[in-house]
Amino acid sequence: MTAQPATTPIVPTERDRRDDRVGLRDAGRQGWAMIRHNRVAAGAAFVLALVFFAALLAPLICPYPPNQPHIVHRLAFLGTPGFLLGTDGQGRDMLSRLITGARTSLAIGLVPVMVAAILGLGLGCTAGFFGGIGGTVIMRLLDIIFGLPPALLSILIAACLGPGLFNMLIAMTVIVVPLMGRVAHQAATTLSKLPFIDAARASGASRLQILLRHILPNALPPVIVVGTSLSGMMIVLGAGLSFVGLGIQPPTADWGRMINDGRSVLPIAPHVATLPGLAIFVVASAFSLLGDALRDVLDPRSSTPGFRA
Amino acid sequence: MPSAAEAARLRPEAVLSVENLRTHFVTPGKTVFAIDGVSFSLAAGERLALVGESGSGKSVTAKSIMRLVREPGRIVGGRISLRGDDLLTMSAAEMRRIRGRRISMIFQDPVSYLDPMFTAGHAIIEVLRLHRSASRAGARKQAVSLLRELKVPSPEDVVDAYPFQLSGGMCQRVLIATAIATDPEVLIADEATSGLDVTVQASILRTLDALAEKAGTAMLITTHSIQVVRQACSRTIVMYHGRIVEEGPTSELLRQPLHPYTAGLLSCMPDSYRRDKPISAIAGEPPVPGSEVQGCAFAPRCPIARPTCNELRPPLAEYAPGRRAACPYAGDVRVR
Repeated sequence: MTAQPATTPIVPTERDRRDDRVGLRDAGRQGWAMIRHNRVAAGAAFVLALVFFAALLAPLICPYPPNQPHIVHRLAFLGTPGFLLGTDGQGRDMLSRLITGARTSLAIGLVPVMVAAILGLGLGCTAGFFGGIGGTVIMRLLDIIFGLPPALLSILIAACLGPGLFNMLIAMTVIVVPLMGRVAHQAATTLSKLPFIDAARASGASRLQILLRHILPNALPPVIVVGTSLSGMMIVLGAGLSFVGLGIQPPTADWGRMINDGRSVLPIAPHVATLPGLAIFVVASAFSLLGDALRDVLDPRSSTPGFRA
Repeated sequence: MPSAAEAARLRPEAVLSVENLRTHFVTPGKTVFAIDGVSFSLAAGERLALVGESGSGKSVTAKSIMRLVREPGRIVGGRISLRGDDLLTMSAAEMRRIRGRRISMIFQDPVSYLDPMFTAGHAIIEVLRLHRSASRAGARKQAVSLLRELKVPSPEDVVDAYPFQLSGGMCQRVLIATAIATDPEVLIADEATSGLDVTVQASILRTLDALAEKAGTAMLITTHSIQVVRQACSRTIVMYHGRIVEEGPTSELLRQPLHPYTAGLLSCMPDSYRRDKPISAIAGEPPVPGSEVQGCAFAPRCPIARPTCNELRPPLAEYAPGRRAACPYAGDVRVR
C-alpha cells in the first residue's frame, strides 16, 4: 500500500499538458466550450442550424413544390396521409411551404442586420473615436431615424419603394443602422479612453490605424451580440410587412404571408395560420437566446467558460 | 563596430534634452500648471529616475516627451530635443515616426496596455510591421526571439497568449518587447514596476538594466519608489509640484539629500538595517496639483522653512558638481 505512490512517477501526462494550454491557443475553442456548457444556447444554435440547412436544401427535401395546389386536399388537417402538416386554403402542402418560407425569413433576419452592422460599425466607430463636429452630426442624423417608430418607418419606406423582397430588405436595413451605430459609438467612445489605445499611440500608430486595428475589432463583439438579438426582431417585423402586403408577394412562400393566408380560414383550419406563427416564434426566440449567450462568449476577457444551464 | 554602450561612453552627450518644459491643463476658468519649467538631459546608456508623489508631474513629463498629453493638456513652452531634433516643432506625422521607433514607452498596469482582442505576439508584431515593414512570419520569429531575450519562459506559447491569460509581470515583459523591438534611443518607463510583486519588479528592473548596458538605451524611469531608484537608476531627479527640487547621482542623493523634501521622502522609507528608526511621514499635504503657489511649494510642510521661503521661489542651484537643489538652505538638511 505504501509502495504504490513511490513507484508512480510524477510526470505531467499528455492530458495535463493539454489542459495547461487550454485557452492559450484560441478564444474560439473557449466559445465552443461555452456553447456546449450552456444548454439553452446549444439548443438555440441547434434550432437555427436546422432551419438554416432546411432552407438551404429546400428544393431537395420538400415533399411537393411549395406552390403546387392539391385542390382535392384543400385545408387538410395535420397528419393527413401524404400531407404531414396539412394543406392551406389552396391545397398547397404546408410543410413544403414552411421549409421554403424559411429561406425568405432567414434572409430577412440576417441580411439587413449584417449590412446595418457594417454601416453602423463604420459610422459609429468613426464618430465615437474621432468625435468632433463630424461625429456629432453623424450621431444626430442616426438619432433622427432612431426617434421614429421602427414598424411605421419600415412600412413607410417599403410603401414608398414598392413591395418586394429587395425593397423590404432596404427598408429594414435603414431601421437597424441607427441601432448598430449607437452600439458601435458607445463602444468606440469607451474604448478610445482605454490604456491600450495610448499604448498604440505611443508606438507610433496613426489615428486611422488605431481606428482600424484596435477600435473596430473591439467594437465588433457588442455589435454582433445586438445584431443576433435583432435578427429575431427583424424576422417578426418582416413577417409583419409581408402580412400587410408590403413585403413578399404571393404566391411566394413566406411565413408572414402564410399567416395572412390563414387568417380567413382561422376558425375552420387553425393550423394554416398557427404553424408559420409558431415557426416565427421559435426562430426569433432562438436568435435572441443565442444573442444572449454570445454576449458572454465573445468577450475574450471572460477566461472561464460559464456553467449556466 | 563598437557596441552601443561603448559608443555611449566615448561621447556622453545628451540623447534627450528637455529645457524649461511647461505643460498646462487649460480648461475654461482654470489653468492647472502640471509642469512648470522642468529641464534635464539624458545621456546614452543612462538610467535617470524621476521621483515624486502622485501629482508631482512626473507622468506628465513622460507623456509630454512623447507628445501624448491628452486634451485639455497642452505643452505651452520649452524645448525637447532628441539628438538635436526638436520634438515640439515637428508635424504630427514626423512625431509618429519618432514614437515607438526612437522613443518608446512602457506603462503602469501593463495588462490594460495590451489590446484584449489580440495576442501578446500581435502587439510586438504590429510595432515591427509599423516601423520595420517586416513580413508577418519574420516579425513573429523576431517577437519570439525578443521574448526569449527578455527571459520569458516558453516564448512560443506567450506569443499566442491573450493578455488576460498572462500575469502582470509577463505582460510588462511583452510591453518591454514591443518597446525595444525597434532599438529605440530612449525608453520611458512610466511607473512601469508599480503594482507588480517585488520579485517581479526586481526582475523587470534587472531586465531594463541589462538593456541599458547592452544596447546603450537611455532610460527615463518615473517612479514613486525609492527602492526602484536605488536599484535601477544612476541619476535621480526629485520632483515636487511640477518642478524639479533636487537632482544628483543616486547614491549621493540618497546618502546626503540637499533638499528637505528629498530628506522627507527618505525618512518615510522603512530601513531594514535600522529597525529602531521610526518611520515618519512628511507633515501636511502636498498642494493641489498644478495650483499656483507663491514662493517655495514645499515651504508649508518644510521643517527648516523660514519666512522668506513663502515669498520667493528658490531657483535650482548647483551645490556640487552634478548636484542641484532648489533650496537656499540645502546645507542644513539632514535625514531624520
